[in-house]
Amino acid sequence: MGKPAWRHPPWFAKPANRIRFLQMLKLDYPDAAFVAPRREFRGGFAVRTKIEPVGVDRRTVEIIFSRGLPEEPCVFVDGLTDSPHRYGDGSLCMWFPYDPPEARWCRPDGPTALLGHIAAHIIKEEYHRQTGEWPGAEAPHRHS
Amino acid sequence: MGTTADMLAAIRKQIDAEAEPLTAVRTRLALVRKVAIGYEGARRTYASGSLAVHTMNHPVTDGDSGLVLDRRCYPQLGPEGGGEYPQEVVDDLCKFLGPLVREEYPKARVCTSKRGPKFYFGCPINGQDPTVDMVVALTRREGNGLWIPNLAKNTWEPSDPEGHVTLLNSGTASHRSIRRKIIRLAKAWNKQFGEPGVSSFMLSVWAYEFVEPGMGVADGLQTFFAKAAGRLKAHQATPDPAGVSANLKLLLPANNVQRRLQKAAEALEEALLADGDEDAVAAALGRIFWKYVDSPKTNQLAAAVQLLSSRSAVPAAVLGVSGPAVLIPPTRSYGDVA
Repeated sequence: MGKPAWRHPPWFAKPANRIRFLQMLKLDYPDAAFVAPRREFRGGFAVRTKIEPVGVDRRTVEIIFSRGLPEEPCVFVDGLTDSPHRYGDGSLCMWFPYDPPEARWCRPDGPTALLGHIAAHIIKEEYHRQTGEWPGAEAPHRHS
Repeated sequence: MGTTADMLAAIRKQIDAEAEPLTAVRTRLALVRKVAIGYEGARRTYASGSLAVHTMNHPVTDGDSGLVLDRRCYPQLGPEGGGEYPQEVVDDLCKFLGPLVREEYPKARVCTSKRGPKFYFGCPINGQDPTVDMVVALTRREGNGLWIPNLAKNTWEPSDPEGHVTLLNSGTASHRSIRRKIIRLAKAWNKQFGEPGVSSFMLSVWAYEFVEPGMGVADGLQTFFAKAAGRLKAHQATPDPAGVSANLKLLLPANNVQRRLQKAAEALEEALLADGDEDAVAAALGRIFWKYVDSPKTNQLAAAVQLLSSRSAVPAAVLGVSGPAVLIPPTRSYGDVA
């Protein structure tokens, strides 16, 4: 067996990048902190904070960047999980991964924009739980 | 009355049609019916729709009526005559009625809707300018009801608008009153959605079927939501209560509507279980009538949802996220749309 092909290290491999990401969050969310990523994301980078989207109770948010897909955050939120827009592991399906960059979050947008997407998704889920209607556009899973 | 019933009564006050526009639409409807009876071969006119069954909400939008033609004067008209299509007679009726209505409403215009002439009066009252729809109809040789036109397809379809009014106005005075209140609340609930899933007529038919004598408004409405959700879950159709026209159709896919009804049934059940606790009842009813119940959290959620439903970017701050001013673009939520 030959050596595996060399891959560029993920952006969070450099401590400066991780610290910068956390510090940007801490500016407005002082309780934001590094956490150990879940077992299935071993080798990844994870932070945890609390947000309070309008009309919804305070929620703990865990943002994880994996080694396999370092540009695509996996987001877990505490509380109710019934939602038509979650992945099998319970993380939020906030955008269609193949949509253009302007219709999803990209790392240069920064952590505040990511929290905005998370808040928007939590609000939509809450509304769906209350009324059965999903506000905004949807892209169904292929294997639904 | 319990807290739930009290709060539902307060919602009803918000959706009550105002007296002046209601009087205006009745006057307009009476005028159109009066002049229509002078049309050649007119046999009778009738009132139908929410005005005739007393389930009109604010704002007052329209009054429905029909003109039944004498088949002897129009032997070629309709599927049981010579098969003639409705378009010509409807156009002729518009030409006849327009000038007569304009004698009293000089700015009135007459156009055609799906079923016949539609009158616009150009005379708003309290910001509402109710229209009048008139359906041109033929009696059926066999079976109950009438033949009414479908101008979109230029065909005739069987229906029984007069029978529907009789059914929806049937029962004892108290049962009728409760049923009407439930229909009005259900219509208000349905209209809150960006895309209503059920026609007003279908809501009325469900109330006719599911609300039983002896029920109050709160438990009747809960039964209404639960039984309607159950029917859709069981993939059962809603037949025309007069047994004349085809089964009623939903405006959205059945699973979407079923989910909405189920959520409403659950929230109302929760309100009834917590009937003594005003906050709990308000929170539960706020999930059904979010545009009418004054609960800060519900209002905030509804306002945020309204922004998120639009196709423009939303400032993160509006969603409760502090920090630098960033805009959150609309995304397509990905997932297993159940």
